[in-house]
Amino acid sequence: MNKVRSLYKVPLFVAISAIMLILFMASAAIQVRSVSRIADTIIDKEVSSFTRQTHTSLQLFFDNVLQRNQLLLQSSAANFQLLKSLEDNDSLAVMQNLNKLYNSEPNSGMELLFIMGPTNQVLYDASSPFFSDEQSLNELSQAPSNMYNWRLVSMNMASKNQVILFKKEPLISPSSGKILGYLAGGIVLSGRIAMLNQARSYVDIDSVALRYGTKVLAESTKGSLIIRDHVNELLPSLAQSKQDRSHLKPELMRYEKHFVGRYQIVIANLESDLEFITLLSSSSFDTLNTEYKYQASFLLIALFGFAIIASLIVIAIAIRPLMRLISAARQAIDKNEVMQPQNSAIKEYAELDSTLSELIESSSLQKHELNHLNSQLKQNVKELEQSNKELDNITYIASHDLKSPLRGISLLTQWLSHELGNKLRPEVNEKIHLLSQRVNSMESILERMLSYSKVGQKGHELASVDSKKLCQAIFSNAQHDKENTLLLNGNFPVFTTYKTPFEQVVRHLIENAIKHNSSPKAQVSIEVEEQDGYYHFKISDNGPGISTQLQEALQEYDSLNDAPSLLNIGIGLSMVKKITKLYEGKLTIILSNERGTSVLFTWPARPSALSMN
Amino acid sequence: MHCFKYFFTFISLVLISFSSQASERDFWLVDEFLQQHPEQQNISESFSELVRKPATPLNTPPIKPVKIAVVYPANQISDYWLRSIRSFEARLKELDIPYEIQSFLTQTTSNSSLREQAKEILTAVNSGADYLILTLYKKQHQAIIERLISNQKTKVILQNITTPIKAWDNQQPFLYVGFDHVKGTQLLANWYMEQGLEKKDFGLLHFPKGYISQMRGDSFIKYANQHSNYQLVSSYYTDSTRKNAYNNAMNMLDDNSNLGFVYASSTDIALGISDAIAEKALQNKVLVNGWGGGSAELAAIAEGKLDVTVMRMNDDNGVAMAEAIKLDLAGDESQVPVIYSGDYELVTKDSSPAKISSLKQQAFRYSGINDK
Repeated sequence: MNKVRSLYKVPLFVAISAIMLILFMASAAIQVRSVSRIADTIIDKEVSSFTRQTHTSLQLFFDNVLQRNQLLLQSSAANFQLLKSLEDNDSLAVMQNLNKLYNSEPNSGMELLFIMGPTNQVLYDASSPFFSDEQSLNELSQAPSNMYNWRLVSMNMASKNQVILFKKEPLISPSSGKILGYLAGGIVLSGRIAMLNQARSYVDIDSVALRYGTKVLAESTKGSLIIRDHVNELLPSLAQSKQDRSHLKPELMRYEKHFVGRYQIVIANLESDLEFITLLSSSSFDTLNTEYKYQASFLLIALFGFAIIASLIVIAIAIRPLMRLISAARQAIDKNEVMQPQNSAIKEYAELDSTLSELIESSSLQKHELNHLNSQLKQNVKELEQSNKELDNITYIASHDLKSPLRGISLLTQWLSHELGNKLRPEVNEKIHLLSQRVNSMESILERMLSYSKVGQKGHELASVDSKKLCQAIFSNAQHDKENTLLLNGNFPVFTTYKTPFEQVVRHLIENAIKHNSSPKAQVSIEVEEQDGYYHFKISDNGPGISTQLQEALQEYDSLNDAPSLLNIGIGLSMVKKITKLYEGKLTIILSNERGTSVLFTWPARPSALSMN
Repeated sequence: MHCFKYFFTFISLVLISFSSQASERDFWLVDEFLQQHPEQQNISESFSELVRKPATPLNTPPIKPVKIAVVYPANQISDYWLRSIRSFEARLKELDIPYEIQSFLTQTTSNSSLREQAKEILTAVNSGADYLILTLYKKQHQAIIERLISNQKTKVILQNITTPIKAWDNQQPFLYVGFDHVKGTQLLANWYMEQGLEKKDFGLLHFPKGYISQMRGDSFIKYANQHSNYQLVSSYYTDSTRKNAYNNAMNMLDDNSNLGFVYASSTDIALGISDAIAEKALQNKVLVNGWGGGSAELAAIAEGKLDVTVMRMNDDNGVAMAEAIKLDLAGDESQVPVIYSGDYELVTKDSSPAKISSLKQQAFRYSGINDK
């Protein structure tokens, strides 16, 4: 049982390590969760901030493009030479001046530059040859526009549908102040790769496209994903989106490994159908997330390391000294020596050390004393046994050796009585008779003493005993000169026990009950029952009872070694008590008065209960 | 984090927009581009090897002929363009690529304006050309080419230009093919520096203001300033005709008596200068160079009218275009470099006829030495 339980004993350092590990796991879980939440929040904020700022930057970029072209258009419209040649109606000079303005550096990207008459007809054209289409320009010049703001026009030009930002400036005569016509400028947005490259470079983004309705006008990308192949499936056009929402905010959504953003362009404070579409690899945000994960991992490793170090420190500070103390204590106990001091730096361990030392020392002393006492006790027991043996021998020798002279006295008394019977006075004969009686009595006492001294010395043999038959046989064999009766009650056992002593006890008690009964009808009653591994035999008679003196003497006789008062009490009852006690039974006089006696003796039901020392 | 970035972006946007005039160049030089795109180095070398080798026919030629539109200037004396188209066609045949070429000659008397050129280009594109071969002279061309790149249907081969436009970033034309003007310019500058003209001044006649004038003229001035003590005392922009160059050279020679050499930016300009020097009887006193090493220049060198020229391995230009188309048709577009720049050889009036003949054999292996 003890061995089984020892399997469940956990070493202290394992317990501490386990606790540290559990604490580490708990703190790591908290850490991971908190880092994950922080990372998500920060990334959301980053995405939101990025969207807002990208929108601002793209709008600024576009405003800047318009502003530069507007400045160029305004300065060209105020060009003195141009105005003068126009006023002079010198067509060649007008064209030269217009071409010169068109080719002036910096080239702003304004590919349409032409002069319209006061009634909006195209008079002179210096536009880029690719877009210089008279019919288209006339169509464009007729499109409603005002002089203050750019206008977005979608029309066919150079065999294709083009989206153009168009604006005109009045050409005012420096001399008369009259409006000579209008200088019209147009920025063709379709296919403007350079502009989109510039926009992409400024906002530092993977891809950017300019979309009008569902048509991607131009795009710039440094990645492999081409916006025009995907965007229309992903984002409905502004016109479609407006049906759902009154005002379109910039938005950023995930698409595969990218964030797709749409940013509506405001032209002259009016929302237009023009929008920037951006494509940003999600890796930059993922990198942010990864950075947080790395931080979290680093913290986890740090915590784990801390847990390990803390465990080692705890083991070094708390467990190792304890183990040393235990080891020293065990060594001291095993070798029965004084415990070596461990000089622990920890106060409690130092106290434990001194306490253990004192305990072991005290225990050692006590053990020493105990050993001494035990050896003394053994010696005493040995001496006592020797003394008892000698006593038994003396008793045996005395009772045995006294029998011979006593028999001599008896024979002499008989011889005297026989030789001098008729010659002696009756008083002397009576005295000789008394002497003879006393000798017989003495002989009887010696016989009993001899029997008493032999109790426990005979060999013990186990045998099956039928207690009922045994009682009936003893009763039958007893002297019956009267009408005696035997009553048996209870379940008399048939059991295995030391037969001889058991029979001696039963025989003595039955014979006593009959022998000392003066009643003409002696009645012996035997009851038996089993309790707690013992048979309780109660033997009652209707005899004269046991004298109070004898009862008291029997009660006083409580030790096997106490010799009974041979003259005052019956040696039989004492011997029975001695036998029952010797075989772990007990004899008790329950009742004894002038109407009878009840004696109870117990006998072990199993021989294994006997201790045969 | 982004706040600063966007603030910086806004500031830089404003600054750049108002200082764009101050920016040096709007194109990458060959070396700059290769530095920016190191992966192009290997592609370029492999491709050059392909050009040098004999033709290997296409495994599975297309069923329909490849439509190619070529727009080239016809009023230049340089036979670069004609030789280029001849070598191109010859190589296409060797590669077993069926083709239809539609040529558009520009700058002819009847087709002189830029507007007409644009119309020609538009017609070529609208005719469904698979490849469009043209060159870049003026900013207006740039806008046109930008639209063609954006359109993506027609692949653009820019001939006689090897400097990618910065503004197009990674959306460059299918191929820039030509000879690196800067490289040729530096070869000429080095030759002039070897002639021991330290105490002499020099004059320079530009190509019409634009890309070629920057590449050949401006880069020469910059290089000479950095590597010699030569002083530029006179320079003119020409209209790239022999007559105009002659007139400008006459003025230059009249105004500057200490001229050691006059740098010419093209064949026509060189011959015009040579005419002026001959008239002033200053041969061997005032040196003049050719540019490109075409037949006219080589003849002028043989006659002693020109002192030096850089000779392009001319036919490699057309071969490179044909090989690029072959790779594209074979699905190996990634093996086509952004820039193909041919080699130059320096030819002086001291070069032996045998050497010149050998160089001509190599340079004109498809277009023929004597043909023009």
